[in-house]
Amino acid sequence: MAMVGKTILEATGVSCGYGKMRIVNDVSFSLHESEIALIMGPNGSGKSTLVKAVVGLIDIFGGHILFGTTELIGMSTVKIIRLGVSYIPQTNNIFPNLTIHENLEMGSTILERESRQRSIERVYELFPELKAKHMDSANSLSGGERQILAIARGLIGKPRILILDEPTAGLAPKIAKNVISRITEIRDEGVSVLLVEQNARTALNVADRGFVLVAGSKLAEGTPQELTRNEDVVRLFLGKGKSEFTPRSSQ
Amino acid sequence: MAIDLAIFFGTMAVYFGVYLILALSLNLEYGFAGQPDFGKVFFFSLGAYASGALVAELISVLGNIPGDIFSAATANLRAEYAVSNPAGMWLVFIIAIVVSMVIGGVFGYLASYPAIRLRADYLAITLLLTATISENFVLSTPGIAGGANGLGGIPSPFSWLTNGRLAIGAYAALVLAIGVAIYFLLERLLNSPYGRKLKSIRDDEAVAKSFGKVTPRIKAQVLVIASAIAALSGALYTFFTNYEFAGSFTFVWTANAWIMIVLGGVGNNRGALLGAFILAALDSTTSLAIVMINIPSYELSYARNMIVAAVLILILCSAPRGYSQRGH
Amino acid sequence: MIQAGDLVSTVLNSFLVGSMYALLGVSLTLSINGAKMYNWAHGELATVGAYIAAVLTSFEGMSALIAIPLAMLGAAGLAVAVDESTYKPLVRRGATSIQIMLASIAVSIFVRYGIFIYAAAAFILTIKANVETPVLTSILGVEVTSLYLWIIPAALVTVFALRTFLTKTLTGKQIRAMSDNAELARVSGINVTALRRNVWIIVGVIAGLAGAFWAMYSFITPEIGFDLLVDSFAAAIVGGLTYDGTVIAGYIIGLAENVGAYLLNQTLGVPTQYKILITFSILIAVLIAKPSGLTTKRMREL
Repeated sequence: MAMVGKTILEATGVSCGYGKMRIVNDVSFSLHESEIALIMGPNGSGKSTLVKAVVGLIDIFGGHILFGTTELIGMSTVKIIRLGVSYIPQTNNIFPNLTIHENLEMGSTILERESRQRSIERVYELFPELKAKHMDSANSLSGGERQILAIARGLIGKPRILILDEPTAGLAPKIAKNVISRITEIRDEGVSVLLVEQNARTALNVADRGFVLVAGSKLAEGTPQELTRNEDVVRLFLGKGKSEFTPRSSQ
Repeated sequence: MAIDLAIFFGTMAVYFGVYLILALSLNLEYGFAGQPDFGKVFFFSLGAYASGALVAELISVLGNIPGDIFSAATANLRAEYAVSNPAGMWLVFIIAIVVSMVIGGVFGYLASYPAIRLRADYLAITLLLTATISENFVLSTPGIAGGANGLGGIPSPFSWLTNGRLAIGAYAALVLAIGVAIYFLLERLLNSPYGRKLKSIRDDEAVAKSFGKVTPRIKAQVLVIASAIAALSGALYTFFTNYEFAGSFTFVWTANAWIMIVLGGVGNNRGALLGAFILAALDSTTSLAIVMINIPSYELSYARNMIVAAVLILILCSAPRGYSQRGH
Repeated sequence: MIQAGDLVSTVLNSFLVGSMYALLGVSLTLSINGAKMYNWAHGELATVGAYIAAVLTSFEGMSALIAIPLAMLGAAGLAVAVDESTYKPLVRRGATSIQIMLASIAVSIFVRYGIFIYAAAAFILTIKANVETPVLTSILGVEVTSLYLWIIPAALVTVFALRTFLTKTLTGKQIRAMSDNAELARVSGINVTALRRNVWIIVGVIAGLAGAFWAMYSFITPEIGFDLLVDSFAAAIVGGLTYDGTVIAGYIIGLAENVGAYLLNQTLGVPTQYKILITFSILIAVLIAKPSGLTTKRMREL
């Protein structure tokens, strides 16, 4: 069973949105070391908005987000990234007119010059399919490959936290499964993952903990087992096929 | 030197009317129908060219004035004709105004072809460059508007009033009346079902950021009307200055129009009134300063342009988020 | 009657002009891609470069080798000043693309008439750079001056340098990344603010160079940059907003405009002043028929 490690990210009472529009209201969640925390919820529930708040891309109306002891709210995005938080948006998450290698180089900006090449090589080891095509334009990649590239780019900077916004959206089930399994590899390398997913069933299989967001507020939280026993959660996301779900911890 | 208040205010009133009509035209196009027209001066100039040409040709016929219409001599003869033939001059004036609007409308219709096919920024580029090219073209083609020398002898229909002050005052009254009429007509139009449809297109586009759902026909209609109105403004302006010169129809006129609608809030016709007033006041003050201070007139007009540009930048920069958001 | 000598002269001249169009187009392309806006004040960058070069060589007797870099510096300074004072604040406020375009029109007017005031006061409403351009050789009876050695190689070298910078250096790649997706660039940890400033410096440097060259090539007025906007935009758009494409487009437009005007003049009697209409027609045709210009890439929405 997954041990709950040290808390690496603590969000308390976060309210955020765009301009005058409040999308998320008073939500708290936490992320521990070497953990995959899943934020799930229906369309428009504010999942993307919430994680954008962590990297300073959204207007914040209240609350705190602590990375270790550092308050992230109010900090510039570039500074947050340099602290070790990496964010992969849901769409438009690669540089289409750059090659794969150049995309990765963009992730290496925050490293010291000497470490850049080494870090890129390390990521190529994790994702050999990218190395094979590394001179190709990112534009030429398929949907699944783009997601892999987007995530790879986010890993170059050796982040401690990786935020993924719906990495499997629009992908065929087999490819989605591949992406999810890569994410577990990343977690096993010691990176904490904050995962936003619509594809709750697949994601719950690998998550250590989950938070359910509905209409901007937190509905439930807990381990995957606890969540699957929660009737509301089941009804909303897991459909009737409760038996299809096998939480990781019971395998 | 004594300032002739009557002439000063009369001039300002004429400018106000001309500017107002121009602003209303742009407001219709952009404020309500979302078409960014960065080539406004082009349609404005059409009214000027049309009026000039018609006046010159018609008076040559009516007043039996032979010779090159572009020469100073015939220009003077035309001015004399206007003084002694008020009815004839009014006929010429009305024909010129109507034809100007028709020509403006026609070009507005032509402009709808690129307007439908191009996205907003490309349309803006196209119209802006059209205006630039047009100025260049007309300057190089003496037959249209007298090339580098321009065309004089475009008399006001009130020339027969020997009292200069009265003539200006009467013309000002006419221009203001036309301006106010257009204002109310447009307000009527915009509050009608057709107008609501326009606004829905505008708001739809702002959200959708694409031209996909918009009716090409409506775009064309708006362009036709707005261009006709702009040409009208140009015509009225020309009958006041009594002279047209292609080189005067620069970017600055387009900028004037935009400043006016931005000042008052895009899509807000009442704001256009404010914008027109401010610009007219600025222009009149500049003209006054030219007379009173001993700086060459072109220096002052350069300064005036810089002031207007600076004001526009300041407004755009100081506006709260989305200030230039459409009015109602 | 088409004369060989005149035709040769026109073709040669087209290469000179095409080089300057290429420089203007490339710098405009960089500003459009890098700053995500259409800068109507782009011409004024060239005008400033032109006047600095003209004034320094004519009145201060400076050598072109010093005056031209100074011109480039001046233009770069203007570019950065305008962005810091006007465009960047507007972007931060969430201004729309049209509002920013409008602001650039205002900037263009402000700078242009400011130059007018200066030029009128200094009695240099029209001026030319005072640079020795001795005749080097003659082709079919047409004189080729050293101006050709100044302008054409400099244009090609500059564009090559720019390309190399953009494809081989990390900063250059960051600029391309920023052009693709500024927010993703920021989220990758790239200092987009500093990068934007660098973009404007490069834009100013290249546009200023073009202006300085023009002052060597012909008489200039405070409107010279604005007059060149049509060609600048034509080169950029026909080139599909890529650097290779824009250079080629610059030369194509230079040739089409000048040789085309000459041919039309000799065969159909069309006055040569209408040559700008050729450029305009090409631009409109491209915008309507194939907005991606000479490239095969899909044109991105700004």
